[in-house]
Amino acid sequence: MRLTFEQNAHILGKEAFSHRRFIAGTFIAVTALATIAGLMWPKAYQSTSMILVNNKRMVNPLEKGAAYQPDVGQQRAKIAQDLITSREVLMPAMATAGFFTQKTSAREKAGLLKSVRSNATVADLGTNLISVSFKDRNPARAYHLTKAVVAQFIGQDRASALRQATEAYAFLNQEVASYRERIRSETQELKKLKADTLDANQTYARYQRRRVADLQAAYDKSQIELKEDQGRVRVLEQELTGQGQNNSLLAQGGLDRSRLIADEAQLQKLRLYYRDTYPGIQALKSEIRTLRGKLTRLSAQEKTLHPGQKSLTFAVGSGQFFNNLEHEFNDTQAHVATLQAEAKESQQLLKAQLATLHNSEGSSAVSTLLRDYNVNQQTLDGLLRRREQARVALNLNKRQQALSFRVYEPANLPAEAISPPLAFFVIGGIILGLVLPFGLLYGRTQMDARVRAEAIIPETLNLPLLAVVPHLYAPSESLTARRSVHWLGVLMFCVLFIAISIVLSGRSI
Amino acid sequence: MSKVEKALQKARAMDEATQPIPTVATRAAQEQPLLVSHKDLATYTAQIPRMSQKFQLDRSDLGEAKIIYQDMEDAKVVDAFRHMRTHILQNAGSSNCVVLVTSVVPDGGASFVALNLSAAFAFDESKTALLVDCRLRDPKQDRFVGGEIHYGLTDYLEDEDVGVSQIIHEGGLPRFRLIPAGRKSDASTEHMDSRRMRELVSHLKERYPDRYIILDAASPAESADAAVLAELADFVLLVVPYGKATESQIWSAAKAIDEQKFLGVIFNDEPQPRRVIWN
Repeated sequence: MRLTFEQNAHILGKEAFSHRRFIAGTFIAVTALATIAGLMWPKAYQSTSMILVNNKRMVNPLEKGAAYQPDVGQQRAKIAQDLITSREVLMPAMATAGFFTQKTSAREKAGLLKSVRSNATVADLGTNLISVSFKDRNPARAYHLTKAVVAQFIGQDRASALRQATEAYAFLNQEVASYRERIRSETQELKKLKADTLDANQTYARYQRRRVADLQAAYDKSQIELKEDQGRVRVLEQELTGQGQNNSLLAQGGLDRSRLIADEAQLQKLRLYYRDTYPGIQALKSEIRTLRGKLTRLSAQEKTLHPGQKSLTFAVGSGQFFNNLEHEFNDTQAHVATLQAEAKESQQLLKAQLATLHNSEGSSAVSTLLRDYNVNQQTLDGLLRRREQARVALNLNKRQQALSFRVYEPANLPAEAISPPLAFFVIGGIILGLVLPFGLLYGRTQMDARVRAEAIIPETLNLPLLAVVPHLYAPSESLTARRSVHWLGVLMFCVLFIAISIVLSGRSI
Repeated sequence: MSKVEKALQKARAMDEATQPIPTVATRAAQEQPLLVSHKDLATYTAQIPRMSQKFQLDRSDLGEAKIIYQDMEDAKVVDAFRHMRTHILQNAGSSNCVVLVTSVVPDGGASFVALNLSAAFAFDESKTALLVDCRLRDPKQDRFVGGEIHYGLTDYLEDEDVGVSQIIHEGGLPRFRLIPAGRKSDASTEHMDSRRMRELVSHLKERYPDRYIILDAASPAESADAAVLAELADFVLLVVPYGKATESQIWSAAKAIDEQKFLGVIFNDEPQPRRVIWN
């Protein structure tokens, strides 16, 4: 059967009455002990300093090159908490605050460090503020310790930032030097390669182009000479086949005319590359003038002999002339064959030279070298920018402009103890003195299976309950009980009165 | 020596001074059963006021002895016993009865309940109550007899020469008589189960029709006396003391009693803080 709240309360009241001495004794003992504890409780003083985490500053953009990044947000508080309670920070600060003497052993130092750690409170106050507090029985020592710890912490942070900025700058500087050396080497190599490789020389390209033009001119000349010689071959062949004497003047005129044409072509070609003062050009001009005068004379002579014939004729001998003519025919044929071979060779050389000219600018070695050179140059540019940023960050750290922590509120010398007030102990003792015995009694009634509620008999055991007989007090027993209740009440009140009086008087030991 | 005992000694001294010590003849005469019928009940009822009452406890004595009386301050206790008596009378009908009072656990308050139930019966001027202390191992009611030498139940059961009238004593209350346990005896169960005990109970019940016999027995947890006496009784009351018996103990004790005779449970000795603090 589950008892109602009212039934439980009635039972608790009856039990409390039955165990009134236990109730009163516990109350008196607990209240008295709590009051004494409050009087004797050691006083502690707490000194607090507040640190500002500088994660949003004007100089932040200048610190992009720093390896040490101060803008890490809320993690700073946690990092600060870990660092502040670290041995590296606490031990020097404790020495500064006077915790150690020359006789302090390592074991004692470890014990003191543990004690200080237990009395340290590092709290993240939210908006970039960290509160660092230390408790100690000595207010001056608490103050000095807090001050020293904050100074030590910020100093170490500053040193760490400077060291990392220096290392970052040195690293970047080294990289820059390395890349510069690499680029210098590549430049030299490229120059050497260009010098050594004709493909890479622009002079060679011009030479090639000129050579192509020369080859082209030689080819054209060969073609013209070939055509001229072929014409001479045909004329000589006609002469040899029966038209010798009649056509001698014509043949002589044809030869001169062919030579004139060839010379003019050669003159034009030479003018492409040389001035008119060039000896070759002067010689050709003289020859051309001579040939033109000769042709003019032959033309006048032919008009006299054959008025209706258009071509020039030449006066020739009979026997010697044929021999000479045959000999010239054979020479001309041989010269034609030679010119054909030369023309063919010139054409092949021209083709090969043109192909070489097209491929001369695409050398793979130079391309690779140039590509590496460009990449390294870009990398060097980036490194130079970053090195400059690192240098700025380093200077900021040297001038202490890049600090991520600043003392926002310095440590104070505590004037009042932070120990719980005496009233706290007394009120706590009174409450505990009441709650403890009643709680124990209630627990006992809940744990004890013995029947204390008459309702259990009919409801749980289903047995007829004939009557409930209250305890019959004999007059003397009633008087004794009443007196005990009154005396216990008086005793409890006296203890209560004394405890409250002590609180109000503000006494302390 | 308590006030009750002093009062009893004083009354006994006066009794011895005025009356001779009973002899065997007078004992025999006193033992003669009064063969009365129910028709003569009115006659005997009329004689009840003339019952000898050589001493009577005053209110303060009763209070100290924790015996209820009419117009008592603590009316709750008196009312509880009155309610008990009424319930028994309703179950008994027109005849008298034998009520066995026993406790679930030792020292459960059965003697207190038996004594005050007897007192409650004695409130009624038309009835008398006879309390028989059947706790032969640990007598509880002897204090009301007083004196050093008196016969009790053990004497009667062990000695054929001891008559019924010799073991019935005044209890300091009107219409209330008491048979004390007498000498302590370890053969309690054997005595309770004896023929002479059965005859005694039968004789006590039948001699006066307005006499209600209350048997105060030890707890079943202590001995088998209660179980034996339950056969002789008409009704059985089971006393459950506050905060001393578990549910299983109560259940076991109740199941050991004949359902026809089991009248109910008396939840006894419930603390009354208000009465002590505020009265």
